[in-house]
Amino acid sequence: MKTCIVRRGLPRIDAVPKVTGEARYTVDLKMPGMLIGKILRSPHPHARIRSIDVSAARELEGVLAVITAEDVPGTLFAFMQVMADKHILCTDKVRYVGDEVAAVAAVDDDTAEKAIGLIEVDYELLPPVLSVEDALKPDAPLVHEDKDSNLGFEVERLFGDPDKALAEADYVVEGTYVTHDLAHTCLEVSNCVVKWDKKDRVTVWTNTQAPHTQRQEVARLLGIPRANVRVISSYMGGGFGSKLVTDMKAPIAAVLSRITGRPVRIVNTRSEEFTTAKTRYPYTIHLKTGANKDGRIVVRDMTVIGDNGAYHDKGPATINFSAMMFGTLYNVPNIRAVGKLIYTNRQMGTAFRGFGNPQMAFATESQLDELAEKMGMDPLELRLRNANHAMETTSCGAEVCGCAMTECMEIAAERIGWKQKRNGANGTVLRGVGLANMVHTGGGGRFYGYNSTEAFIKLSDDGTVTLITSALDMGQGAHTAMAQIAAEELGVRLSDVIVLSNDTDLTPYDLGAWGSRATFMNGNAVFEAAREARLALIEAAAEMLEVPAADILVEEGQISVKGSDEKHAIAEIVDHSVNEHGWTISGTGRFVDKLPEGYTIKSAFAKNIPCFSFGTQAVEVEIDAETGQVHVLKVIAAHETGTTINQVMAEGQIEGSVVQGIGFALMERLISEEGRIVNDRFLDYKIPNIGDIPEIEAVCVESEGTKGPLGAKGIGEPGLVPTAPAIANAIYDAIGVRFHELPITREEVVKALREKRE
Amino acid sequence: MEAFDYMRPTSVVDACAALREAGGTARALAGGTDILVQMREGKLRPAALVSLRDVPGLRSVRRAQDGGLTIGAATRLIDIETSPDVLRDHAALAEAASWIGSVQVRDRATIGGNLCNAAPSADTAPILIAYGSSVTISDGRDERTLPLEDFFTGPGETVLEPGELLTAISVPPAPARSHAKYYKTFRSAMDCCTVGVAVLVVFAPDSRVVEDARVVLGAIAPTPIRAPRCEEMLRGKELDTALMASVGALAAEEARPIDDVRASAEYRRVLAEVLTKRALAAADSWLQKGAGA
Ligand SMILES: Cc1cc2nc3c(=O)[nH]c(=O)nc-3n(C[C@H](O)[C@H](O)[C@H](O)COP(=O)(O)OP(=O)(O)OC[C@H]3O[C@@H](n4cnc5c(N)ncnc54)[C@H](O)[C@@H]3O)c2cc1C
Repeated sequence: MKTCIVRRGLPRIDAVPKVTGEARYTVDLKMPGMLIGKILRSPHPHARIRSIDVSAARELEGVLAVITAEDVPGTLFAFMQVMADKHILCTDKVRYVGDEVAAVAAVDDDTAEKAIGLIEVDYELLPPVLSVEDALKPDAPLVHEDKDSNLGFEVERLFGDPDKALAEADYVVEGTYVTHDLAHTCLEVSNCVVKWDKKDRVTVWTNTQAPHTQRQEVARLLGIPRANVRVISSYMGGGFGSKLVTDMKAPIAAVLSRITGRPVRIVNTRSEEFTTAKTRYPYTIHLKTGANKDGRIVVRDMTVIGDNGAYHDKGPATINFSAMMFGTLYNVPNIRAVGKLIYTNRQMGTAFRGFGNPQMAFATESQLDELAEKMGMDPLELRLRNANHAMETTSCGAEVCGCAMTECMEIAAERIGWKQKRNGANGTVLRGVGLANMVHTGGGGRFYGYNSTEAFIKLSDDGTVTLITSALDMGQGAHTAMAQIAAEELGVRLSDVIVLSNDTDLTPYDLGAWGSRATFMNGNAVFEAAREARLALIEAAAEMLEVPAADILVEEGQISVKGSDEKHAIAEIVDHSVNEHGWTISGTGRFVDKLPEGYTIKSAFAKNIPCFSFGTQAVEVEIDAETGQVHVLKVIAAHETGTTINQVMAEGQIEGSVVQGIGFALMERLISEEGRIVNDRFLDYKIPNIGDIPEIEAVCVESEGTKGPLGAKGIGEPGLVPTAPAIANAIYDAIGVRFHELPITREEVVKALREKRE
Repeated sequence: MEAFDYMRPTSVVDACAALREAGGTARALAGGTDILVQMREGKLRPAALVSLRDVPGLRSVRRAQDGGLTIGAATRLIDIETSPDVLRDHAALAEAASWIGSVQVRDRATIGGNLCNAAPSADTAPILIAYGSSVTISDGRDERTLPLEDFFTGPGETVLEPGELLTAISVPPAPARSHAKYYKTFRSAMDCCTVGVAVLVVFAPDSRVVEDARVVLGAIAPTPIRAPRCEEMLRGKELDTALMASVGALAAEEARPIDDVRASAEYRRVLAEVLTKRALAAADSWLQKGAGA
């Protein structure tokens, strides 16, 4: 494919404002008359609220409003309304340390803080359930008393006959794998400014990943018409899934604004971000894999027990999605996936880059190495034999379109030196190599029963292209990717394109930035809009130059005519068209991801995914046997991109994911004591930093057969999925110890090595 | 953060007076990399901050004829890390300073702040104690000097009285045929240490026999501590692998660690053992390579 603008590492369109500090994030927003809101949060994991005394707080000078549950709509809310279980402010009970109890609006931070300290709550402490095991005991206290048990959600998916297959398989391995709760650690904490104006319109400035769904959610929470809510986002300092579902700051600020008549800002402290901005769902995974002597995997059987935390959020969707990826990674005839979500008195989970897939991949890809060992087979060979191939449909209905799985494996193995280095063959006993595969969506999902979006383009008479898209840029570079796609199809330079986005009054309805969907979904709509605008432009040029439309070429901002040296700036054509004839030039693009035959939300399972993206990571580690320190020396991350829209940004997405994957595998963990998170700051919540980050070779593997714009797939999440199991497998290769629980900390390595010696 | 008074005196005398007058909760402000963080977290609410910025004479490294160093309390870590005078005979101090935080942090953070903050994990303390350093304290009128190892009284606590300033740190000349080394371990790069061990070994002339030794353990007790039994075991013996292993094991015994979010007590003992062994091995390999000659 010949391209001018895409498939190049062009600088991001927001590079200069970001590097110079000119870019303003929502957290920088200041407004005349703006008040500071703060939330009083529960200090207890489980307690009944006997009474709240706000009188002292109300009397403090500089305090303009103090609210409790009595002052806010009594809506019960959850991402999926049928599962609604959370109030804006707690009514009778608090269910985790951090639950919202009351709120204030004051003239400044210090006054708001002081006012919070003056609110007196009389709690009756209740026994908390702090682990899934405790929550499942028959006499366990109930997190939600209106429910029969702490089981929040349950699902089972069956393809083939797993029981029979397990009984008949030549080899079966079985194990339990445990993952932990992690914070998203966005540089920009979750925050909002809300203004309830005199026309009863509520404007929410916030760093959300999904402005349109947030708009619906805020309306739902406040019990007001959607038309009365406008959501505006800005430059954004990271999301990673934490900013998909509205948290209570927006409705609380809205009520405070209504009462005071002034805009109200609420910003998480870093501690609130660690303790209330939600986590990756911790999974306990019971897993069985069966294979035959010929190296074919014949059955995979998984039960996931997820810790839901105190309230529903994206848990059911996360469990479902893990199961879809579980069913799809290899084409295995017999699949069972059981998922359960258990309420506990802990911070709730939410979406987190990979959406349940990293947890699941840690289990399945670790277990594949265990299976390979049992079979006396090279783990790479086992994976190659079971690889998916282009244009196949798997047993669970996944339609694999373009697929570079085998190629990704070969690249990763070759570049890490698989043959030379495997099993300590390089002579250094404490070095090892390991690899793991992944599959993920490369284009969001049809989980709402549809997957669609729109985009608009207009050309100004100076040749500027304005692109209106709902693609949300949270730092991943979506706006640059959209501008590149528009410029490529329209035939203009990247610098000609202005992107307008992030205001629900302006942009078309869209489901938001999640599931690696922006490039695929918004990109397709942008492509269509650009195509329509291009046709209009060609028509205008043909009229002006008095040649047939078929002879007009548009390239790099210029119009030329076949067989002549004549060149005209696009500006000239648009100027002529607009100012001579009043013909404006624009394009509308709508992309509706076509549902497969017989699609229903209930039955769809893997048919929900419009496009799969495969990848392989190979890792080399070195282990200090005395301190237990695991040094990741090198990571080869080969991921399918279909067509790489922006080489540098795609590599950046992969590298950033790998770094988060290293944190997931080796160091990041929220530590609680009696339901209280004790490492609620970066001093003690350790994420990898520049000194810990190894050489990462990100390889974008192009493949054909994808319905993305110019053949592209999403690459936002895949890079995080296989890192942890690849590291665990490399550690096994180095020291012969198999870890079934994350994170694999220095202490755990030392302990395991001691046990092995004994 | 709550409101506080801010003062910028221009002499030690005025600084001490300002601290005294503002009462018990006034604090000196050096680089601010500890105290401002603590104030923002609400752990400390001083009524006043007395900046040392304009106080002359606190920001320098001087090397005496005999090779001893006098370091002003407000000397920045970055200046210690790069000082030719420190690097000459006290390279282990420069190295310890270089491992603190990031370059941005070291560009503000001072050695006096590191000591006065008195974190059990302060990275300059063990190596300074291993060198036998002492500190000079002034109340604006009188000065007193005491060994650094007697300066710390508990986590975040020192012998400093209200109205007193740490003004200087004196590091004796490095003994002939001596090797010093500080090792720390961290959970990720740029982390405060989980355990830090500083070891100074003085070898007897022409031999591998240890004439004298100091073993100092950090982040493993309420204050940085000497490990006297380790030092005793080393004295007069040839430094071989077996001795290194025994001293390492003893260091684990002498440690008084606690469990916290950074590590378990048990693991801290493991680290004390490993780091002590490694610091001794570094001395040995230095000797084998010709004792720095
Ligand atoms: C990101 C980050 C990373 C860090 N990493 C490390 C690390 O790896 N290792 C480590 O040891 N530390 C680390 N620190 C802690 C800190 O940077 C050091 O302890 C630093 O040396 C403190 O010096 P300061 O000048 O900034 O002290 P300040 O914050 O100004 O003062 C600290 C305390 O000492 C008092 N004080 C300061 N000077 C005097 C004086 N002359 N007389 C009397 N009292 C005084 C102050 O009143 C205050 O109580 C880190 C800090 C940050 C923010």
